[in-house]
Amino acid sequence: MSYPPPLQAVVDELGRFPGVGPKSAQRIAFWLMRQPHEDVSRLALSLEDMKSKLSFCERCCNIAETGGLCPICADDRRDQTTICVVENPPDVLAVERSGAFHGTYHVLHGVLNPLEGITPDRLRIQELILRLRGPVKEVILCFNSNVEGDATAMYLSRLLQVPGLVVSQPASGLPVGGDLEFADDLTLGRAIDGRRILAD
Amino acid sequence: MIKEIDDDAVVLRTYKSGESDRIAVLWTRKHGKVRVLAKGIRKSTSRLGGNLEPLAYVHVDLVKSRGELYITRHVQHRERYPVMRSSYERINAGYAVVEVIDAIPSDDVADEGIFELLIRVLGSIDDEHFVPDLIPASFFFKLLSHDGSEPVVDNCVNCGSAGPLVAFNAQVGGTLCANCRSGHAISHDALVLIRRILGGDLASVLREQSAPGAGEVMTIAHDAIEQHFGKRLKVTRASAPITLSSSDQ
Ligand SMILES: [Zn+2]
Ligand SMILES: [Zn+2]
Repeated sequence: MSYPPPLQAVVDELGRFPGVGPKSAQRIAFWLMRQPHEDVSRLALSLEDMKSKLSFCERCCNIAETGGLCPICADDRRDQTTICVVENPPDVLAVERSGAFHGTYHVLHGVLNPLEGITPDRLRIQELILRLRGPVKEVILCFNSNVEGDATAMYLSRLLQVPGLVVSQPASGLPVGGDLEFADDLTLGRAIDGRRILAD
Repeated sequence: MIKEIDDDAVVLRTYKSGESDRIAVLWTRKHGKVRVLAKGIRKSTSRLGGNLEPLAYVHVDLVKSRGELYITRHVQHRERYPVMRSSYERINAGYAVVEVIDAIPSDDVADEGIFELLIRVLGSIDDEHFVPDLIPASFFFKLLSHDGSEPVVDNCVNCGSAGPLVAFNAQVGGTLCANCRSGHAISHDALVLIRRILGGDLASVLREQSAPGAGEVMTIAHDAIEQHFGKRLKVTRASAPITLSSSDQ
């Protein structure tokens, strides 16, 4: 037995979400069925609104208004010669909260993980390489201290062996195996201040 | 399913689960493959954090939880593999190895031989005297031997003739002469290399920078292990051409 097509369509769409299996997709779809029409319309509108207004920063690949730069790239008080490379947009917020960094960011939208099929071409690495044509002097590789983060840092430190460019990594002191997002601001700030050089 | 497990283990892979938990898949010495729910592991305050991540060699003290999952009572590092962790190629070699172990279909079937092999191969990847390129391929051949499926490389697997051997076909289990040829063409260099790997000369093979025929041997080993488990594997395929230049334009 299958569901009426409009319901099945929602189940199929939800099932494509990360971490949502068929069972959860059904549960959420039924829940949506039970909600007032205006609530569901608001959800649909907010999704549409997000996609039409936001996209990724043309420079750093962080979230930004469509067709432009994110507030950090657009801020000329930020040091354009230093780029902090992170895995995901929430990591930008984590580093910002630490107050220890005044340069710009680059968001890779993932870290290397061949077990999940995430190879270098799946990350925003080309965009980073392009930025090196500008006045960049230092790239800080700020990933979670786990094996995927390490592999990504090792890969990039090799790739970024460009004359005159310093590649560094936050000092140990970042919680091993933890997510950057969960790191407390002080620890993260200290780790960035005391970063060590991988290549220059 | 056993209630408590106190055993050595290697973490094969982990999955995010919910907001801050992870599920780790372990290959244990005495209990085969075991799945563990690591609660709060992604929060930096969790002291388990660094332990249950892929490629870690740990000692675990586990208790049965819901379903087929265990939860951790205690995790202790046995080996941190610092040399492996500081090289992209070595980490990828490690991934290729754990992916294959994860493909072993026998959940709950313990095989201490495989555990020992796994520990030895991770130790080799962590040994700076060894070039990591051929380690996964060598491990695949050793695993095939362990499973009683060592490929025939001394004569034609079809007609038994001594050669010349010109092809390798994982499906029929080894090398083939010109008359019976199917599968991959194989060069003399690659053939010699496979014989050395299987014949007890592995340590010196792994000391050689870019041994002739190495690329072929990697492809052959990969095909053979995929054939053996009837499963496509991602890592070797994804990382076989480890050229930084591919994304360096
Ligand atoms: Zn930006
Ligand atoms: Zn023959």
